Amino acid sequence: MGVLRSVPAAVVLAAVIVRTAWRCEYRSYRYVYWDTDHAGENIYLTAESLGLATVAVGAFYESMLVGSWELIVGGEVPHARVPAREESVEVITLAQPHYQWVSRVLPMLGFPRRVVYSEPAPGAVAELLELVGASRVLVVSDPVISRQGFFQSLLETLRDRFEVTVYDSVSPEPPVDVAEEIARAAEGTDAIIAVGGGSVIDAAKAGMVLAERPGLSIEDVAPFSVLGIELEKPVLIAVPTTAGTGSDASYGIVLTRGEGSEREKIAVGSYEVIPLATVLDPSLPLSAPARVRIGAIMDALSHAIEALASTASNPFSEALAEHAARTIFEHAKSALEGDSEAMARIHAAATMAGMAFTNSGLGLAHALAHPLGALLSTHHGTTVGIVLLGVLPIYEKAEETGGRLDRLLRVLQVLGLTRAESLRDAVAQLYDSIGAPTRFRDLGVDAERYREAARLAAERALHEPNIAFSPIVPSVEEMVELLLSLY
Amino acid sequence: MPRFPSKEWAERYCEELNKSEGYARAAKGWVWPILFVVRGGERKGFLLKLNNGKCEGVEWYDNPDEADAPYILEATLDDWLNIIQGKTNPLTAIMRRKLVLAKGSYSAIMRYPIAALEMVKTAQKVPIE
Repeated sequence: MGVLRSVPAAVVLAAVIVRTAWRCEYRSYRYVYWDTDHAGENIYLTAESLGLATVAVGAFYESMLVGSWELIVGGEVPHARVPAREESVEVITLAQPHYQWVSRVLPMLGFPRRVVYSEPAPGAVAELLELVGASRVLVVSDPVISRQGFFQSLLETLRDRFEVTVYDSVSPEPPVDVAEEIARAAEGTDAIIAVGGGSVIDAAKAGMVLAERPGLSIEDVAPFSVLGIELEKPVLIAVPTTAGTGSDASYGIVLTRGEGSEREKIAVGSYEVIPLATVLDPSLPLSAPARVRIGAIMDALSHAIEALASTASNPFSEALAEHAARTIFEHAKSALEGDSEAMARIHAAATMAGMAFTNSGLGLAHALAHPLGALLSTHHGTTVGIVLLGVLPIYEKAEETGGRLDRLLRVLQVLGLTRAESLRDAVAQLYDSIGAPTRFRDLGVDAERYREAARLAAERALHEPNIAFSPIVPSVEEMVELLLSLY
Repeated sequence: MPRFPSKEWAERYCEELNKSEGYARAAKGWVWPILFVVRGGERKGFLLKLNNGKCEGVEWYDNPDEADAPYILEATLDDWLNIIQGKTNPLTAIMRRKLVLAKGSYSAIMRYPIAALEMVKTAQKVPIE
């Protein structure tokens, strides 16, 4: 770095790599470095023609360079710096670790790069794979889905054009270990296709992380921790078969660990694991059993409402959350009765709700439902949907949050979708109309076991990241009382 | 009244943390010191020796670049004041990159959200000039 102080002039080559990445995707770094090489060569030749010497310097402290040039503000990456002495020009080329652009571009909002809406999955997936230049593909799923006709049809279509392997052993609420198994299966592949509900998609995300960063612990995955995998292969394409967890559009990975009273969910996440693309084929959620479809709708609605209630909500997440909630109120009943157009809308709403909460966080209902569901081994969507009924009265009293939820209620009232006077009652009435459970005893949970789980869940909720986005954080005793009232 | 940031403010903050039952409960399991850095302009910083819900001492740094800790949190003066005054939730500040974890594990920080909120509540009890 000392040499830079002695030169009278410098030429700095900088790149905002994301401006190339929107078009050239994973090839963007290659193209930026090629252009840098060509520019550097031209500078060398020009200096030579002017009788100036050139020297390439391979190492400098990036933090000092970007600070002095204020390049970090715009997310620019210093690529090369060419200071000129009186008699020489020096070329400094920065070997920029390719992933650092992620930490410099404010990851405030993250979305899948492509959303394929209301299209048959096989053709859409094949087209996306060709877009990314894939040749070897891993399809991840669970043993139930892999026996379905649509899954075989998908494999048939893909095997015509790609080399395909299958991992179909994901279990519901998958354990942490599944990540390593999927990572091993994904070795040497260009793409992972996750076909299933939230468990499958989350497991595939975790597998993708370990495939690209072996030796990393999944529990170290956190927003803004730089993984450096966003533009690497294998890429992830999600085909959600439920409507839905929103995992196809979210940054979250939820896995489980431990047994019995030590069983807990670990919820981690990174903007870098948001799938590259999601393919919404409405025929898929229509084929799921009724109980699964109802739980998925409860999950999607909880995501939408908690995203709206979150203390970190913003105009983008609010728009997505409000529309998703409205759509669910409008179309849930028809979708459950088999209307494919209605299910297409619910499917999209679930993905929108996933986009919303990825960019706003969730809240108290999820902070309680994660540990409670782990202890009771109950379906996540059903669990959080019931807990939401206990949390909404708290939210509706909070100042800013209450205002946003009140606006949603008034929209529902104006559209004739509810006559309830509170959002909590509107949700309860919706549940009633679609045959959704509203109490944990309806799930066959033993009373004594529930009391014990409620106490543990309330304590563990304090360590759930999502609780930080709740407008009000009750005491442990108040949370226990809330959960007991839902039995 | 102490200025923020100052050694006096940091010491009073440490005392208030030790009086907070909410912080004591929420921070059980947190055993790492944190270096708080005010960046931009004149960089200043203070290190809190936090251990299982207690603050065991303060170290003040006129030049925080000379200090090290397993966790280092940085923000501008304005952003620190917004967090202390409750205008910005600390985890939202992390999401919006107003508060930067310059060193340490994000996933560990994210498991202590209530401790973070209790620290903010406690900071509000220390008046600022």
